[in-house]
Amino acid sequence: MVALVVVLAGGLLLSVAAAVTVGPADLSLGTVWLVITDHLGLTSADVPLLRDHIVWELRLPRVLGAAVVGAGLAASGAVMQTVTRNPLADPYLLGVSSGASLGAVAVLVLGFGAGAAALTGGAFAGALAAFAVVVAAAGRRAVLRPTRVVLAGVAVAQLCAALTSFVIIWTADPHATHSITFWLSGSLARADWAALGWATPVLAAVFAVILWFARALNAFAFGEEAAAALGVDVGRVRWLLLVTTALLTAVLVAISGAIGFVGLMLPHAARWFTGPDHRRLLPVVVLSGAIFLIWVDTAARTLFEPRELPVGVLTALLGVPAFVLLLRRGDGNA
Amino acid sequence: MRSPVSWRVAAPLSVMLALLGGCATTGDNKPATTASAAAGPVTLTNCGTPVTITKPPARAVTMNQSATEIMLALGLQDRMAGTAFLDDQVLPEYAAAYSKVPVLAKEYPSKEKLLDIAPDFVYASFASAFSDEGVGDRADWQKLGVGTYISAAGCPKDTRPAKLTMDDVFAEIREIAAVFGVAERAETLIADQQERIAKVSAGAKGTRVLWWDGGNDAPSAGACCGSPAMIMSAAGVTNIFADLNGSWADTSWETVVERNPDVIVLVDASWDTAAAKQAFLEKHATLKDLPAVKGKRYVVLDFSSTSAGVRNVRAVEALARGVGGVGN
Repeated sequence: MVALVVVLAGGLLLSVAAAVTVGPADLSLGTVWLVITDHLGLTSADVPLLRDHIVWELRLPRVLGAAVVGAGLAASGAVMQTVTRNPLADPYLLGVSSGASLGAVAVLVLGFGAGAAALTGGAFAGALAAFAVVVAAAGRRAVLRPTRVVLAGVAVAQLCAALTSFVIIWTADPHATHSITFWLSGSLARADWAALGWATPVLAAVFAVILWFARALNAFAFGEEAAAALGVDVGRVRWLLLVTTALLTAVLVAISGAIGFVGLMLPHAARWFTGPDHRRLLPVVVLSGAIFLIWVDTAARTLFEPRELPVGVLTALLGVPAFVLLLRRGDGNA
Repeated sequence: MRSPVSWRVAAPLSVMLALLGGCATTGDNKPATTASAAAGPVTLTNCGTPVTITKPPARAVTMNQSATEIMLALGLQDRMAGTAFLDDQVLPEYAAAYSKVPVLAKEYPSKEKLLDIAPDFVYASFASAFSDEGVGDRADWQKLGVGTYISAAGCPKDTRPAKLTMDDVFAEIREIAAVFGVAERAETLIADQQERIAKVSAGAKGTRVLWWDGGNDAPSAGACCGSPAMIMSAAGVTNIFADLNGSWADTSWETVVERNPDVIVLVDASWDTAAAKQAFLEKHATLKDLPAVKGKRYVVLDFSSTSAGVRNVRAVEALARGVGGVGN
């Protein structure tokens, strides 16, 4: 088990190192590494400013952003699935992505503010607002019945999706529509050092919380009565975990838009390797989520260069066949 | 059950895009006939559809900015029974003529509304006008004996010009003039536009231009074959993304940095202003150091002057004058 985590951690480092050398601009391996060692204070070569920027301001934050978003979505998905005992649960369960989409579309179309910062802000505000409505709609008794939370999430997601379509159609403009579709399909181009600066601590904190509750999560997997019998305060822990993962998802969605597949499917794939024990599952799911999204995003920005694809389209295009392969091989295990 | 949320939004969107996509791009129809002074029937092929006009229309309806302005530029406001769907104010020189034409709807009128007007010719810039969000299938209108016409640039994809040029726009002006039996007015208008283009295009030669239409994450740039490429080519500048297919294409800032344009075209649209675009470039960690951004070498073009029509010449002039002396 430890071996698997070590291998994945090494794989993550290698993935970052390799992905940063790939891109539409034709930079040599040496240039890329010189830029990075320069910034780390190890060398002091004189790389032209724009080449330096391509590596240090465009590629590296984006690769690290893919790692953070992939890790966070996969971890949130695993927790949501266990806490709600619903294998179809994903990080967007509590209306987070539909709220973020509505917020982003409102900013893009109605022009509240301008630029990337307004978009991120709108998405984050929309995600939190939708989440708040879901919590309010689910009511106090949701503590006892997770189905209520799921249903409230579905209802709010439907409402947000309808409002999003309404806003787009009402202000129909092909070009605005295009940028909205691109945003809705997910992109890591917005990941910069500032975004990493707040997303990484949030990811680290949330990961620490869920790892702390790994045993409680194991108890959940056997059902609430079993969990209660094992001394877990079911209602309190469920809410704590739902709220923290929803907040993490809101932070991630604001950066990348709604990227599908990662949060839903990677936890299932990881369980085939680790079994249901969350003390093993969580580190594996986080590392594999990071590696998966780094490579899918690298494909999105280089496969058809100089064109760029929305990463959310590729997560499904590449992820579903891989998942089906695992599904068929794993017959009987899951 | 949950993650499809984003896909649920995206799926109807992609349908909408397919519809609107028609509007945003370029077209193909070959001028089949030119009416002579004799007011005989005019037959032409428009977007692959044969159209026969037995006598010059007297109750025409236009939809979309370019179609409306081409009619007004040809002085045909007296033959118009209605108009709809402007993106922008009409050009000041046509404002007086435009004010005499009834406006049927802010966007596309319903089919019922249009039937009520009893038009004898319906002319739109984009195929989307003849879709369910517009006035319905053009075949239905033809059956009613109503002539229909769509700009070459706005034809459905398979009948659009592979690479749009100013000649496609001029051909459209000629065909419309022929339909209304005013062929000589088209020649005057076209000669004037050609002269204006010839006057400016030499000075801009060789300047390498990024046409940034919108999109902050993956910049949507003018590609090989649509109206942005047509305007850049008429202005004599070099498009740095001439290797991309289509009218516009999503690319990446990394590629922009690598290709290092001399000048950046900022398309000014109500939903994404040139000022917002400039602010984005100048605040971006990497792009702020791009020589074109450092030197503030921008050309601002109104979005409405970039869809195929009589305004293109203004965009060509603005672009050629804007880059004058920058290249080489």
